[in-house]
Amino acid sequence: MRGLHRLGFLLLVLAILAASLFPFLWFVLTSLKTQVEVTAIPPRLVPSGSLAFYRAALQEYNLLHFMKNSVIVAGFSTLGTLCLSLFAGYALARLRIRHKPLIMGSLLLVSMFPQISIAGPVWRILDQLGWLNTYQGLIVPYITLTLPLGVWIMTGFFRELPRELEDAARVDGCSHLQTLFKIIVPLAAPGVFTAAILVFIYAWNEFFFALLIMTQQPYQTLPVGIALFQGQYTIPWGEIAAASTMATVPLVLLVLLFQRRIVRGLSAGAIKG
Amino acid sequence: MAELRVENLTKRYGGDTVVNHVSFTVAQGEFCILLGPSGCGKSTILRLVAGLERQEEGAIVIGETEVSGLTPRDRDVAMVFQSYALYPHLSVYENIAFPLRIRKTSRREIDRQVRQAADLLAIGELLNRRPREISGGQRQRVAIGRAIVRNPSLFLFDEPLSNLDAKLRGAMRVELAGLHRRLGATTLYVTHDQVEAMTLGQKIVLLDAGVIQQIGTPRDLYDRPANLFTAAFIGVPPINLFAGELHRAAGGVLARFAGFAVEMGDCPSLVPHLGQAVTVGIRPESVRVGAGDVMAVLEHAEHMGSEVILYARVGEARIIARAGADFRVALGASLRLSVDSQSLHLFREGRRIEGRI
Repeated sequence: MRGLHRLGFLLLVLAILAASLFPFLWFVLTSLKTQVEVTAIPPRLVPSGSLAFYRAALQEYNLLHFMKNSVIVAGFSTLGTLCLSLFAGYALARLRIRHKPLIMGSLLLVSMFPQISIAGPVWRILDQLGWLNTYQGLIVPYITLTLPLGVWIMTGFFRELPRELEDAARVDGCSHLQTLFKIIVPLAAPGVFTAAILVFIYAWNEFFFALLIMTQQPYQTLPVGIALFQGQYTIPWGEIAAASTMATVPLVLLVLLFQRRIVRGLSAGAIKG
Repeated sequence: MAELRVENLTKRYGGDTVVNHVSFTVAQGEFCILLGPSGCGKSTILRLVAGLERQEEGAIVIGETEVSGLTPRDRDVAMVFQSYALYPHLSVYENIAFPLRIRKTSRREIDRQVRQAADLLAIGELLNRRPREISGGQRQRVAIGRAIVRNPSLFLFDEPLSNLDAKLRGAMRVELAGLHRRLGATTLYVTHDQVEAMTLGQKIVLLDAGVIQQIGTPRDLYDRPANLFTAAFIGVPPINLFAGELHRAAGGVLARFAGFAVEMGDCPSLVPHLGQAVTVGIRPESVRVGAGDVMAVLEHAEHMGSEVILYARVGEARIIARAGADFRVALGASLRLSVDSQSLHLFREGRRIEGRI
């Protein structure tokens, strides 16, 4: 009976894993095929291992250019969000501010708006500023959209830290800012990491705003660039698969590398640490 | 080192006055204890002196400087916290060096100071460890080390021993006393533990509900409690308190309480209180067992090794007495008790009446 129970559990886990990994696996396999194999019927499961699509994606479709844009946009968005949420989180966790629950609540509310409902106003504002097709035109909206997440994570972390540490730092001669950077931030590092990675992933993957705001190729990010690989009559599946693989792998590595910190970060507040 | 003067200090949280017009002085080099039950405002006073909170009224003067408007960093005080508050991400060395680094002391001077403090506290081998890798007693030493290297005008201790187990607490008490003798530092020390207060303090400021109850040496508080609160708070086992009355008798004034009738002699200071309800206090060691004409029934005895604590009943009242280690009487047996007029503490409306001239 117990064995059966375990077997059932295992099968369920495998099924969920297969369902979520299948698309990823499929485009990794596709990326390693040749042009003939991609359209073969019946489909070939095992690719021949050709790197032709990777070469094409990098050279003909200029993937590195889009990747550079993505690194710039996602990087600065992460930096910006982190900086702001560090200060906001500390203030919300520690200072005596009136209507704190209201502030936290409205922050959460902001992150709940469907993107399409703010797309119009955001586009018009950026148009007025002349920021369409500029890096800051995408970075600033990304910071706005990821700020609630960052602030919530940081606030949660700062709340958990013992107050006596800050008192000790103040008596030891630290100003408020020194206390924040010498004591609080190092101790809240898991939270900082978590926020950083989640924001980076969001900015890296974001498609809708990127498509809307970056209409010219020099500023387009990876998701938009890859989506626009397709011509009027052709869809270069192999090159898209290769490009998608190259866009995904850095993120996967990043998450695997920091997974313990992220898990700690996400569960902070659940248990006293 | 400097003198600390607290004048008329008042702190309110919302409508609650947690520190109520408190004034006291800690002389240069003095070890002063703020004692009281939890919630009496003693830790708040310490935080006010440190500058971690701001008072509504009153002044705090360290040396010649009125520091009320200054931030903690400009007050030149060092503080040891109940939880030690060591920085978990820094080594023991860096923890002790931290206040010096913030003050941009030279590297060589920092090293000299840290090693000197580490030697003094016998934590030289721990300098490279992290706080989580050392024991509670060692953490306490590190916290003290971090305070010492500052060479501040004033040391503040916030219940520094209450997280240690009983045995270690006793040892650290002796060390703290020794350290104070060596450094001669002006010290303000908060505790709820009267044993710490009695053994460490040169002066005790006893607080209840934000109000000072009595200021004095440990002996003052024990021998001449100014009010019922002080009498009841100080002393283990606690003082016996009985409702009683003062009468005029042939030999002068007679105190009657719980079956006892004690001749107070001809004492003019008691005359205004004749016929009034008073509270009579007797320390357990002042109750003489085995002689006298008051009969008590022994209900319980605690053998402490060096002595026996007796819990007995006199009529409706209960009384605690101390007896020698060789005391042997079965529970339920009768005891003869007597008290000496010199050892009585008399209180009227909560305040001490001086029974002797």
